[in-house]
Amino acid sequence: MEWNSILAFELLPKAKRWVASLPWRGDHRVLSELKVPINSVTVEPRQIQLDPQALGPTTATAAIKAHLDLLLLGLESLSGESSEAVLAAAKALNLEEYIGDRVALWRLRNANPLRRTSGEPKKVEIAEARALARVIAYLAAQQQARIRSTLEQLEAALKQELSPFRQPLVGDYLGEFISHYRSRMVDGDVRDEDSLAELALRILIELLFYSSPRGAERLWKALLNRPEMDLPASSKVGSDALPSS
Amino acid sequence: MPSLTLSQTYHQPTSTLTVRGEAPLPSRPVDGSARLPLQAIESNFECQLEIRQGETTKTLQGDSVWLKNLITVIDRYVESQLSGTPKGTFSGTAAIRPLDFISHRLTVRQGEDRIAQVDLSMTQLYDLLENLSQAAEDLPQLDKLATLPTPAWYRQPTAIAALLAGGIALVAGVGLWVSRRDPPPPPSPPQEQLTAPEAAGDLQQRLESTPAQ
Repeated sequence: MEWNSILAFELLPKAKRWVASLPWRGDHRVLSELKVPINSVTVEPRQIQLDPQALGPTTATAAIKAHLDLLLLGLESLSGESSEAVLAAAKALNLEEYIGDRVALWRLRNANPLRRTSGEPKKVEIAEARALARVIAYLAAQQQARIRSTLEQLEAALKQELSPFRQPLVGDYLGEFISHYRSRMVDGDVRDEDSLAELALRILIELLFYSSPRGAERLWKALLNRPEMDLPASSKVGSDALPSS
Repeated sequence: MPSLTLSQTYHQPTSTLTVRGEAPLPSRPVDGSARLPLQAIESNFECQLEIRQGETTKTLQGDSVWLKNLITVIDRYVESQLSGTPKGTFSGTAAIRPLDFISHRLTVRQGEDRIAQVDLSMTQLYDLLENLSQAAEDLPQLDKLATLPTPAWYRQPTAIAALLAGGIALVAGVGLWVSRRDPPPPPSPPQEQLTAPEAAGDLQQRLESTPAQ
């Protein structure tokens, strides 16, 4: 595979350094400062009574929407399966109310603010996000053997100071993930290969933990604890590009 | 009181956890096919954890407090990993911290004066979490299980803090007393009391302070 060989030659010497230098932070840029100045927060009794947000969030945050889509991207990169597998899983879990057809799935995935989609940010209800989380855990459980083999190959490669890109399963997964990411996400053209590989491997690791019988619960908890993300500048401007999936 | 020993083994590809303890003998005989659940365990709880690392196996063991600490630490650590903010954590007799992208160092107390370290890969961490999660589900009474009072009471963090506070108060009191009377007293015994527990607690402090760095 040409892609693999290029990466192997270019990145083999860097592999060890790359692993050692991986920053211990989330794959999203965490907001470093408050977006709203403290003195601008005012409490008006009338607003509290009328604003449903005061009772708790009813829609998924940008970080949750983005992460759900990235986990699906990871699963897709591992198995090559597309939306059919997601719809079949939703049906098996009786979640057709939320993910009943391709259009519904397209809307949920394209709510990811990192997507090259047009228009205003799309809302995803908490119940829809939770349904998607259950589907992801279900699909991860189905693919557990492959997830685990890929991860074991990665661990063995790093132990022997070999490039992860040269391992068949890991190399294929990384190639697929990076290619999908580049074509679908607004910052796909500007993020370097190493940063995308890091993101892909983090997603792979997470999928192993979500492949457990307790995976859905674990994923939902992790999503709720995930810090809000700082969007790339290009995602804040609507693009006219067609949705890629 | 007559009792029955119950045990359960949890298997994952790289780790095996065995828990056992004693339950009071049921007043009515249990039929052959039925088994008492682990929830019936009330005393003499112990566990053994085996972690396979290639050709070798590392074996760790402990009581209910040890297992509870391990469950808490691993659960909290994985939670931090999955929420995108991985960080080292500790609880009582167990601690874990990241070594690099996919490796983690688990440090646990073994007996009175020994600590053990095991480096875990991601798949080993997953297997360990699965075993511990299952055991936690089967043993909801883990918090309340009776454990024998440890002779090394002075190694407990709270005991160390209390002893240090008491020692300081005593030294201060002696100082005050000395400042009011003559002649000067002989070397103060409370200082010995103050230093001895510190030295004994060094292991605990190392265990707790290392991962937090």
